[in-house]
Amino acid sequence: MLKETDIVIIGGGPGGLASAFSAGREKLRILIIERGEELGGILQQCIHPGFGLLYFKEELTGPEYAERWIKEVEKINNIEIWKKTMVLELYPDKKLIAVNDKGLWEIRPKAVILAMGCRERTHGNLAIPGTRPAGIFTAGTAQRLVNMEGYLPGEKILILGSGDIGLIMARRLKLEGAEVVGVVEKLSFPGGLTRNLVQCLEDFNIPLFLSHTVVEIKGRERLEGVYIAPVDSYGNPIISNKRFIQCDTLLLSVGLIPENELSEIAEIPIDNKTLGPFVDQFLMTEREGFFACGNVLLVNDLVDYVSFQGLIAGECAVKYIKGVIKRERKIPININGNLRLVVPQFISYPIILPEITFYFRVSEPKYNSVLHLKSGNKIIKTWKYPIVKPAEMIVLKINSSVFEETDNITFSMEEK
Amino acid sequence: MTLLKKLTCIICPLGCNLEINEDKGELKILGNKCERGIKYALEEIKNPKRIVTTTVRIKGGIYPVIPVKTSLPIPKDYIFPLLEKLSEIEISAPIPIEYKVLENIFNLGIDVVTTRSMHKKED
Amino acid sequence: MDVIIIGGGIVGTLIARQLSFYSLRILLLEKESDIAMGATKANSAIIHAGYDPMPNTKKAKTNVRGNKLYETICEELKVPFKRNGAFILAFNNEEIKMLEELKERGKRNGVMGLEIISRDELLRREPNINCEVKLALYVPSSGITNPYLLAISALENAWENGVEIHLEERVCNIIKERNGYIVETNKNIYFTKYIINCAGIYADEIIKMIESNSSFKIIPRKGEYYVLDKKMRNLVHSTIFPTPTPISKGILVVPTIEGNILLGPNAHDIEDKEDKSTTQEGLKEVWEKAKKLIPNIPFSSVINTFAGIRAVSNYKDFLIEEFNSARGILHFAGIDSPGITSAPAFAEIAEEWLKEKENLRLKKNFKRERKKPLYFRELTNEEREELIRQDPKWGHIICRCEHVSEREIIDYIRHPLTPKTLEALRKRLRVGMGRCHGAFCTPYILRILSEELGKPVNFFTLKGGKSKILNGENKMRWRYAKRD
Repeated sequence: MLKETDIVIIGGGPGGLASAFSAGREKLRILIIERGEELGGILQQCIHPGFGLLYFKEELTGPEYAERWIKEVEKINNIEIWKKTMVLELYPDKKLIAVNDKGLWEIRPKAVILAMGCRERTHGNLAIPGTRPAGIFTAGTAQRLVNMEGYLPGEKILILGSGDIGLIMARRLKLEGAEVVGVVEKLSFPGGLTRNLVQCLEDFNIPLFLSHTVVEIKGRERLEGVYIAPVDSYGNPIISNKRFIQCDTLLLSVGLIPENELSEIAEIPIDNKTLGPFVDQFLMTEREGFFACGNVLLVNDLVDYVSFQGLIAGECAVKYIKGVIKRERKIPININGNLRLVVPQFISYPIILPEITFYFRVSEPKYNSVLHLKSGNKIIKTWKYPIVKPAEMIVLKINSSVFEETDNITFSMEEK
Repeated sequence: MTLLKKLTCIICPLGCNLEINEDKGELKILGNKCERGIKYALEEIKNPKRIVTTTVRIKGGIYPVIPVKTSLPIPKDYIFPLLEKLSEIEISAPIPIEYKVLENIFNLGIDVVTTRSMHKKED
Repeated sequence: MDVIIIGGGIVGTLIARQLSFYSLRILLLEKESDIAMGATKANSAIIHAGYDPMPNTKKAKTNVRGNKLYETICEELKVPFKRNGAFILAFNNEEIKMLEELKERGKRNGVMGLEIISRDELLRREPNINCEVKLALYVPSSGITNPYLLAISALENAWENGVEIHLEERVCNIIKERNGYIVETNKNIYFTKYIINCAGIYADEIIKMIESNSSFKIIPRKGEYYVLDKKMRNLVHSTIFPTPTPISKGILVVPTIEGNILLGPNAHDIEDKEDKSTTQEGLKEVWEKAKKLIPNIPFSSVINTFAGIRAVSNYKDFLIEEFNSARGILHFAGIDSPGITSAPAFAEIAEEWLKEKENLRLKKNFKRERKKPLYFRELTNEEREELIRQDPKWGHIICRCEHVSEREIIDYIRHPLTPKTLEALRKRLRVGMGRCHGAFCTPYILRILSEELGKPVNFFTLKGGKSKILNGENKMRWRYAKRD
């Protein structure tokens, strides 16, 4: 069956909702395709606070943040929402094939907004030696099971990875009465936000084992325990110093991977640093008419940024359809020093937007850093950061005029 | 001077390592880079409070549990007693967002409210 | 019973199917929670050509015969099979000599089409191979399939023809009687005329139940593997072998029929038959040796690891025998590689064996073919549209990595042969075997299981026994704590 629409938004989480909200203000037909049974995406299972501090100037829980956006989007008449619908195929010419219980749909929108979010790195990706018993979960799956299905994954829990999801789940499981024996982190510094380290681990005396990793899994049918070992400066485990930790559940919080399988099928070039599409200031990918926002673009640490990205993607998808965006030339955004990645990765001219928001992540934690914006070799602007951490994104809104007179842009971060 | 407590400040991303010491009956804070750190440390040692988020059982909804939170941070000592109280509750769908599951818990003037609405499960 | 088959691996199931064409009362006993839980599930999935076994051995004869039968069997049972060919690589003069030897041996065994090809030709066909290779032996009749899916399909076919199947039933004792045998299990006692021993790594223990003096012994030999993401599917198209060693065909790079790549297996003897753990050193060995064949494998493409246990024995060859002291029992023991390839030949041998003893009559209306199950991911868009019109549950995708619909999941849960475990669904439907490894679909599948079977979500196991997926008590421990 054919479906006529102007903009398809793949994903009804915070990225999709924000882009629908901003695109919906114009009178174009918008279709949100969501594979779950309700909108809100991952927010529905994130029942802890920490959402909306920037956007709403209030601290909300995930479901509250989602409900505000859902209520706004549902009010807009030209936005249609399809739930329990899955996009099977995405083509470079923007054609989509989607499926739901009414049948198979062929859709040819004028613009596509990618808002598919991300998935978690799995136990299999880590290739941890040992057995393969029941009791090993990614932290996100455990979160869904506890917060939406109402079940404890286990009674004695070890968490591998000190990313935010792992820390949040440490607290959650403790509150549900499980024993959390510790969090194991391979690097010498923790991966999550400091407030989570304090409010999830310190508050409950849950030990954090830095520079350690899980080296063996034991248990035939159900997990019985794991061996952890310290790692050397290259990240290699020192097996001779391994020790056994008894547990019946292992939660993995070892990284998020943007879900770009559909983007790759549509032949949209992917940046191997962000694992998301290359985009310009419009959040338009190298393939015209495709936009990306949220965790599919790069893994964000605050949902507020996802919403900001969604608003831009939606606004620019409309501009694109109206013919306002013309890519006459483009320049790459170069980065060096302690900067590991940047979005957007290039600027298209004419710039059109009054300002460009840049998102950076650093490679290493450092005190007293400076971030320079250079045009050629000339430093145009400098920002000072008393502390930078890989877990905390750096976001800069820069007036577009700065980029008008140049064809060589570099951001570099050094220690002062 | 005796060391009472070590903690990490969470007011800003610097995350200063603070020390709360007692000196002749007075509290002295060390390690902070700004005033807000002192305020945070004093709160943490005198009356640490937290927002508690958890779930409560719900009958007839699209999921068997619904997320809730305390309307304000509650003193840490009340966290587990609150969870015990909440474990005895079961509400019935449909429930709106901000529905008061428990009012004025432990006479603190703080409620426990739902953080989402949940409609009835259609069969 | 007329025939009791001990063991539900590829051997037991293909034999059960072959015999199910005849008017016999057949019972298959499997001690695990599902069939194909042993070597059948954890192997390289290769249908070997037959150049490797020594000529005139049972291994050689059944290998070559089985290889010929694979197309037909897979067509009848609607299981994928592909003759993707294989290359055995030689990196030095000694290995080149070995290639010549293997070519000769293959010819003697009846393998067709073996040819030594040049380095340039090899690299033209498989550009990712280590360019230090000197020569290769091309084996066109080598193939790949899905062995556990084949076992499951064979058993479905056998079941449709009337074979009885008992899972989680382990044979404890066999007692010779006048006209047959008493078979004692952990659940029951049976009397049967014939027994076929296909018990894999436990085949020696079955033999010991009747031949207490037998010197036959299984020496479990572990093989570890890496599984690579389907993104690597163009890494190689044929199966890549190094030159074999006396104990194993070596660590290979094998494409799977589903589009993944396997690296492995290594070969180390172990003590404990149930030790299916992968090891630090073993995985390292596999990785390094695989890289010798294909240098550019990114570690980021690894999506899984596993280990399988070969039923190697202290006999040089397969033990396919009916002992004089225990007539009526046919043993298939010490079935290591090329066991999967030989299994269709074993089925013929079992059939012939029984024909000599009994006047076998074909059943009326027996089925050789299995109805092709419908998999959403394999259907055309028109077929999908039609199915959804009939039943909307075809349009609700639960496993989004492998595109499995709710309808398929429910149908398999309802099928009497399917164990109600996550692992059983995984084998049959591929749910949870994609990129996210069940992270998204597991909660949904648990809910479907719960609704279908009327049990709470935390009742279900990964693979039976104590492998509960949700070990925690039903929520709200505080409630229980207060009660105490």
